[in-house]
This record gives sequence, structure tokens and C-alpha cells, in this order.
Amino acid sequence: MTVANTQLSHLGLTRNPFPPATTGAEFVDDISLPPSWEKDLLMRFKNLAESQGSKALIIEGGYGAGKTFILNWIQAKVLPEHRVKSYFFENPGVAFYDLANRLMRQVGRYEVTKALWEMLYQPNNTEAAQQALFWPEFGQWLGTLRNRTLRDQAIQTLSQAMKDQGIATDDEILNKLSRLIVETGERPYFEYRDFVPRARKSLVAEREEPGYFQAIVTILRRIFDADGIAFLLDEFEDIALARRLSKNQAAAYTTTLRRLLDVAQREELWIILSTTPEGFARTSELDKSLVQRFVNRYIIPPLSAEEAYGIVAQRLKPARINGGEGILPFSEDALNGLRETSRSSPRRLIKIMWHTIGLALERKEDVPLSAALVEDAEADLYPGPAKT
Amino acid sequence: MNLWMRWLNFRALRDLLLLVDKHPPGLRANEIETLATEEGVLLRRDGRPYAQSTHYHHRRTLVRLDLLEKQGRRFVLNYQNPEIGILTATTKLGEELQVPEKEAFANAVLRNKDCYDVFFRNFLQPQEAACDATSFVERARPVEVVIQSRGVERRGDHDSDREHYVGRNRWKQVAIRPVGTTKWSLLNGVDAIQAIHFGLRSWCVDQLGFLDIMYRPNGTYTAYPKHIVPRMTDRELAVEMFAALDFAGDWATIRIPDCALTTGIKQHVSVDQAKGVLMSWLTDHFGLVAGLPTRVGFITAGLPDSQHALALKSYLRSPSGAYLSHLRIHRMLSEHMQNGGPRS
Repeated sequence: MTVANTQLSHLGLTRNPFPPATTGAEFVDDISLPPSWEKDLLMRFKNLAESQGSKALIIEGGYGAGKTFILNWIQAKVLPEHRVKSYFFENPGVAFYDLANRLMRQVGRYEVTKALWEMLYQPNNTEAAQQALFWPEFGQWLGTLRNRTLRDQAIQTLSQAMKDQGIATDDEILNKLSRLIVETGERPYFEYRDFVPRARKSLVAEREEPGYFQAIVTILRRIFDADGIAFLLDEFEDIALARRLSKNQAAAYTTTLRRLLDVAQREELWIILSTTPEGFARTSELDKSLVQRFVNRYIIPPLSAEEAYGIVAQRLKPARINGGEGILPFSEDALNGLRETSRSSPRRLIKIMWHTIGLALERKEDVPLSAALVEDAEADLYPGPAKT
Repeated sequence: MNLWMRWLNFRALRDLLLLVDKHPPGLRANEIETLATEEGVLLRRDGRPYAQSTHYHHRRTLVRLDLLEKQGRRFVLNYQNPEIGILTATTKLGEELQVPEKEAFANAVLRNKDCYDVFFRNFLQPQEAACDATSFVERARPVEVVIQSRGVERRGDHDSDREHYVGRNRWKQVAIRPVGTTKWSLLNGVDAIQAIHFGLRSWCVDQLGFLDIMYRPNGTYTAYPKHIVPRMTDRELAVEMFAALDFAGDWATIRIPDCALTTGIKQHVSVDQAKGVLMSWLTDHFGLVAGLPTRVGFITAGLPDSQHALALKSYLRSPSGAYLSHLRIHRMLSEHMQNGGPRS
């Protein structure tokens, strides 16, 4: 046992349960939201599931408001109930095919092409099933495509099979998707250039982005036997994090969102986008009609005193050595001295609690840890004028 | 349309009037130029004299504004104009413009027919004339101004049917409309941009202070009337701004550029004064007001480099240097409003 752990056990804890980085929901045992948030969001998802239009939802909140945590909660708790397969994107890039690139890399080329190939060759009658017994495995089949003629034949066959199964109708899209399968033998992984239109050996259809993407979504939905596919796009506006967006890039950003919504309207694609208030406002200024299509918008409310208490209790519970309820090793009134601005922000709150435990160890404080200690931690992390 | 308005220094205009006032028989154009240069009335920042055209624009503006009149080849003060008395009250050259002088110039600009036709008419109801700065500020409505410019390739010539490339020009236009309306007043050409954007905007906003503007990230700006001298203290303004907050539960969230502009328009105060109140809330009531930072790249998305600083100006900058787009304000701030409000 390390010295730090020995000291933590003095506080009745196995570890400091408040991650200092406080981004997302990594290593959180209980991924639940404050009850009022959950109730509101579940209602919105119920409406989304029943709606005939685009299944799009915006989660709006400032930095540290809990956007990533909510997306993780949606991915873990909500979407599986609706039989929706979800994909999480962080800072995906402005161009539409950047999304395709990220998506296909998440799925993995070999896995998706194998599943697609098996779906296309699925025998649908006894005779075909008998033949299928002698049909090679995907890997073996790839091995049979020794020369260009055989590969071209396979591309033709696959294109026709996909057309028959209603995956796509456009010849270029069908050809590119077939090549995606056939050329897996040469390279069983994706490269960025695969998703750059006009690049040599590109696997995407030029100027057919929505149709191509729709086909991909259809494929994913069918191979996973899901009722829908969901894209969780975290802080989409963070594309502007490291650079200034030119006029073209700003246009590409809104075009990508618009195309995603177009696909969502035609296919069972759920778009859940988290953004800051300014991200939403600027997107609205760049393209008002686009934002109007996001009819569902959840603005993350600031935490109330009870909700802040609940979050601290939720994090402490699995880290306490002897179990128990409440916010031990903190005194029940430990959060009372926090500024409203700190108590209402999940990230600030968790960072302060993390630092309070550090201070308690440093000062060799006894349990219960007082409100004054929490205030000291707050003043260290967020110095400012005296509390009003 | 007569688009003669250009960038000018109104302090220099006042000093030119003083120079002419010292010479009752009047001064010729070249005498005004010589005196203005010798007395340091019209000099570049580095002390070099201006070109003749700058002297001409200043002199011509005084004539257009009915502050000077030409008698033969000499320029004399137009004592018929009531503003002359105010503008020649001081005797010392080079002093900053005082409020009465700003008001006098504002009145002269507002009464000028050309200025009214190309610009101020958009602020007022149809057929409504502007008489003076005070009534203009009370009656005028905000307008949106768009400066449009793009490259145009000209093809073809008059002498031949065969089209060929003859050069690349820039097409320029200024569009103005009252906020909330749909009909734009369009002024085409480089002169329009010189007259509206570099001329009247600079006169009214930067020098005379009876208009203020806020640049929008889409390249347009909103111009609205404001009092030359603030009629509200920061404390009074803070109370008004707090009363306008829309609370959801204990918190109200405002977008700083929108709040500053709305307040400016409603209270006839400058954007900077409104932003100053928000900044004082943030710094003086740290525990009740939180700023939401935003990415600079997102504020300036799609804008050319030349407009980045203008777009960023609408936002608050926190002491740590981050640009803040929104403020979250707790209801308990009201107690501090009742107890005297933030510092004024």
C-alpha cells in the first residue's frame, strides 16, 4: 500500500474518487445523472424515438457543464434501450468525409467488410445454404481474388448484391463500397486518403456524400441488426480549437451538419450533438435554417445545491472503505460554503472536491472534513475577490 | 446621391474654424492650408503635412455643413449658422473636442441634406427630419449596415464580338436597412464605402459619439443612436440591466454581445458601458456571476483576418485573457443591486 493510499484510508477512502481532469465519465462506477436531468432527457428521447422527422438532439452547455458526461450516459443507458448502435466522435473535423473516416476507423475495416460480405452472401434457401457449406470463409475468399479480372468480377457481383438488398442505387457508390470489401485483402485497415474525394484509390464517392453516408449507415444498421445508428458528436465546434476557420471551412462545417441531418431524415440515424452556447449561437448566425432543423435542444441547467450534493455522494460511495451513505468523509454541510458559481458547475465542483482531499492529506485533517477546508480548496483553485 | 463624405478629423475642423475666425476678412484656400500646417492643425501623426486633397476635404466639409461660406475666393464663417458660436467659443487650438462642440457638429451633420439622404434617413421614420442630436437620439431606430465587396471578372469589349478577359475589378456596395425591416437601401461603388463606412460611421461613432455600433460575426454591423454624454451612471444602468434578465430558476444566462447591444439600443448607452457593467458583475461578484469562455476560432469562423479584431470586440475578455461569450448570473445578485449595485 502506498503512502498516499495509507493516508486515504485514514479518511476512510480507497482512492480519491474525484478525477482532476474531470472530462467525461471515465472510471465512474455509477453513470447516472441528477434526477431532473434524467427525467427531461428521457422524455426527449421518447419523443425522438416516436418522431417521424430527423432524430437530432443538441446538448448545450458551457465548458464543464457536463456535456460529455451526458453523452456517455446516453450511450450507456439510453440508446441500447432503443436498440440503437452508437458511435462517439470527438472533434471530428469540418469536412463530411472526416466523419466517414472516423466512423469507419472506429468500426474497423476488416470487421465491417467481413460482416457486409457475409450479409450479402447470406443463403436464403436450402439449396443456397447447401452451397454455402462449401463457400470459403471471408479471408479465404479474399485470397481467391488474385488478379484484377477476378477482383473486377467480384466488384460487379457485390455491387449487384448491394443493389438488390437496397443498400444504394447509385453506381459509383455501389462500386466504391464493393471496392471497400474487395481491396480489404490488400490493406485490412483504413487510411485517411481513403476518405479524400478525388484522391487516388479513394473509397468515397465524389459529390455523393449524403448517398454514400446513407449507404454506410444502412450497412452498419443491418450488420449489427440494430433499429438505428447514433452519432454522438462531442463539442463539434471544437474544430475551431487550434486554428481559425476560413470561410470555406466554416461553410464545410455547416454543410456537414446539414448533410448529417439529411441522412438522419432518410435513414434511422440519430444525431446527438453537444455544443457550447456560443457554438450554437454562431452556428445559428452562419446558417439559421440549419439550426432550426435541430428542434430538440437540451440546455444543461446549472446544478442545484441538492444535485451538487448528489454528485459528490455518487462519486464517494464506491470509494468508501466501510460503505455508508451521504458525503462522508466530508461533513454534511461541507458544500454549504461554496460559491454559487462553483457549486452549480459539475467540473468546478469535482475539481474542488479532488483538491480538498489533497489538502486534507497534506494537512493531516481528521474526518469529517469541514466546509472551511472545502472553501480553502475553492480559493486555491479559483482565486478571486472575497465571497459575496 | 452626393457621396462627398470622407474620413475627417473633427478636432481639426473646429481648429480650422478658429483660424478663419481670427481673420475676419476671410482666408483663401491656400492661406488656410498654410496656416493649418504651420499651426499644427492638420498634420500627420509623424508631423509631416497632409496632401492638398486632405485640406480640400476638410475645407469642403465645412462648407457643405454650412459652417463656412465662400465670399469670392475667400472663406468666411457662416454666422447665420447657430452652431458657429459654440464651435468658436474656445480660443486654444489643438484641444480635444468638448461635449457642446461635439453636439454642435452633430447638429450640423444631421441637418445636412446629403448626409440625411444617404444615411440618417434610414434611422428615422419616412419623411421624418432630423433637427438636432438630442431629438435624433430619442427618435432614431437602429439600422443594419452591410459592406459588400467581391471580385468581378469583366469580359468582352465594345469593339468586338469576341469576348476576352479585360481585368479584375472589385464590386462594392453598402446596404442599409432599419433593424427588423426587409428593404435595403443600396449604395454602389467605392465612393459609397468611403462616404458611409470611413466617413459618416467614423464621424458619428468614433469622433462625435452620438451613434455606437456593434460588429456581427457575419460581417454586418448594427448602428444605433446613443447619448454623447451618458445619462445613466453605471449603477443605474446595472439596475436596468438586471431587471431585464430572464431567469430560469435561480440563474439567467445571457450572451454578452446580444445583451450589450440590446442594452445599448434600449438605454441609448454605448456598448462599452454595457459591457463594463457586465465586467463589473463578473469581477465584483465572482461567486454569483460566471463567465463562459469560448473559442476564438469559432467567433471568427468564416471572417477574413481584417475583421477578426472587430468581431472579438463584442465579447468580454476575462482577466485570464479568455474570451467570454456568455455570463451565468445568479438571482442573488439582486441583493447587491438593492444594496447599491456594483461600483459605478
